[in-house]
Amino acid sequence: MNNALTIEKLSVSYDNKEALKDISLKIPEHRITAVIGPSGCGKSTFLKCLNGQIMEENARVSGKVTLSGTDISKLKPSDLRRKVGLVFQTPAPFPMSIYKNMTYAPRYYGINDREELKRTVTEKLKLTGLYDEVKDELKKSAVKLSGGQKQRLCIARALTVDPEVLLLDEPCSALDIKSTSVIEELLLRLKETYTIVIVTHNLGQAARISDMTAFINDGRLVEFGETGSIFKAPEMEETKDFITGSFG
Amino acid sequence: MRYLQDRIFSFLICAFTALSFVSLLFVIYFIVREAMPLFSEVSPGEFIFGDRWMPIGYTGEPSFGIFNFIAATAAVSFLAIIIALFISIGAASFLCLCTGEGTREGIYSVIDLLAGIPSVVYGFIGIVVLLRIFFRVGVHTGSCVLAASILLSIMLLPVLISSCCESMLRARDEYLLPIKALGVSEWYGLATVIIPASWKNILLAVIPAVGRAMGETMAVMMVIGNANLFPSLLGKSETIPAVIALEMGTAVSGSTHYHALYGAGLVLMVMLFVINTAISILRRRLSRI
Ligand SMILES: Nc1ncnc2c1ncn2[C@@H]1O[C@H](COP(=O)(O)OP(=O)(O)OP(=O)(O)O)[C@@H](O)[C@H]1O
Ligand SMILES: [Mg+2]
Repeated sequence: MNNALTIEKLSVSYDNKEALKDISLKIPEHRITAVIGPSGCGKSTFLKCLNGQIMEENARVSGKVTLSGTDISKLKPSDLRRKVGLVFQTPAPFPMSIYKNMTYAPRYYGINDREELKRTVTEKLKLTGLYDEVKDELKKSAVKLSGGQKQRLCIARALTVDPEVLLLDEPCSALDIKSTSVIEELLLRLKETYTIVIVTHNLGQAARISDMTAFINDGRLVEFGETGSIFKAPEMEETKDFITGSFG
Repeated sequence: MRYLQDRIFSFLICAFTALSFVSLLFVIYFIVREAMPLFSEVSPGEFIFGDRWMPIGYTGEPSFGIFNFIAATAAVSFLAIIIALFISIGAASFLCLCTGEGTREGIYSVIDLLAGIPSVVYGFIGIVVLLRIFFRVGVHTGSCVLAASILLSIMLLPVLISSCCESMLRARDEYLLPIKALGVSEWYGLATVIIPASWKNILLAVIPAVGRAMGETMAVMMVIGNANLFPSLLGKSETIPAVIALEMGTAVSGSTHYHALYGAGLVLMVMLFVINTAISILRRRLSRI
């Protein structure tokens, strides 16, 4: 099993307050890795480190993140973000048509051939299961989609630049149960093609879809391993408390 | 006790609302009443489309045509709004992407100072600075429509900048991170997502700005030359508020001239109403996208 991302001794502090302390782990390719932990423990910060967004905030970062062999600090921010996509908690489709949302990034990167754009749109919408629902109204404003559809559109939009890794920061916490399970199914499909890292507050979700689970508490990586063993037989007392709901 | 307080409070609010509504109706009624007698002597068509304004018949027949004033008012306001919008969106872009909260507040307070300057002072600055420049480059006496538009646009800036900035900041907070997460540069995102998303709210701020622009009297009057000519960029002209301000003092109360000035005021009001309605329709169109 190859590793898509290797994180070594990663530490982050915001104005002298440590948010992440000395985190090292390897995220395997074509797997779903879940990141769990109590609120404020540094999960979002961890994702921001992986797509370089952290560099634009006033945070001090040390350690090294390698993306399939290259140190990400050596990559241009825009190149890094084409390889590592990020989907946010609140879906924010751009206020334009579904089609334009989907062609936005490819056109920025210089693809103007209509056929090619159309192919990308169809392919990515199909991947997210949105194609059948919207294929007759691609000209419709994306703002008018339902919450779950918006989030799937945002996932599809992140895929239009063909990333290697897809990061998701609590993508379902604003959605109902049905939309959530649609997204879970789609993530399971996507892992054939992409490496997925998902932050979630929903432990059930982590147990259902992820292959690997990382438990972060108070900025420390407490435990990292196969999801099955983390949930059934955690090695650390802290993990067990968290999973059984004693805190967080 | 609580109940009584609530009742009194809501009564006061209703009373004030009614008061402002009634006084608005009263103003309209008064203007219409004073303007009406004009139309028994001059037909509305002649009044609006005629370009000869000769309120007192020193030489030949008196004549009341305000077409040039209407055109000048529309031209000066339109140009001023366009210039001010360009500058405001530029300034707001800068404030959105290049400054932090602290700097932005500082710059805001400086811009707000601009709003407190009386319009005579703007007019004065217009004369000593703008007109001089126009004179240097060869405009006869320097007074012209373009000078008035530029001056007026500066007067519109404080309101427009702060409202552009407010709506763009809102769009920025919503879209900037997703834009950047696609690897797209923030300036490209600003131009293609954030500004288009803000148009609707920017137009909302344009409505009072149009009112301000079309009603502005003193500063415009001081630099536009006040000649009854069809407006051209570098030529003199005269706006409706300027005509009213310049001539109301000398018009004999009850004369046709007096009623014609009220008629001009009525036309100004109708123009404002039409333009505001047009902007509202445009906004509705935008929000359907
Ligand atoms: N831009 C920032 N400036 C200063 N401190 C920050 C910043 N972003 C996050 N922090 C702090 O870093 C810590 C970790 O934040 P982070 O957002 O990563 O938590 P999280 O695990 O994602 O929480 P949640 O589950 O609530 O989303 C928090 O204590 C937070 O206050
Ligand atoms: Mg978070």
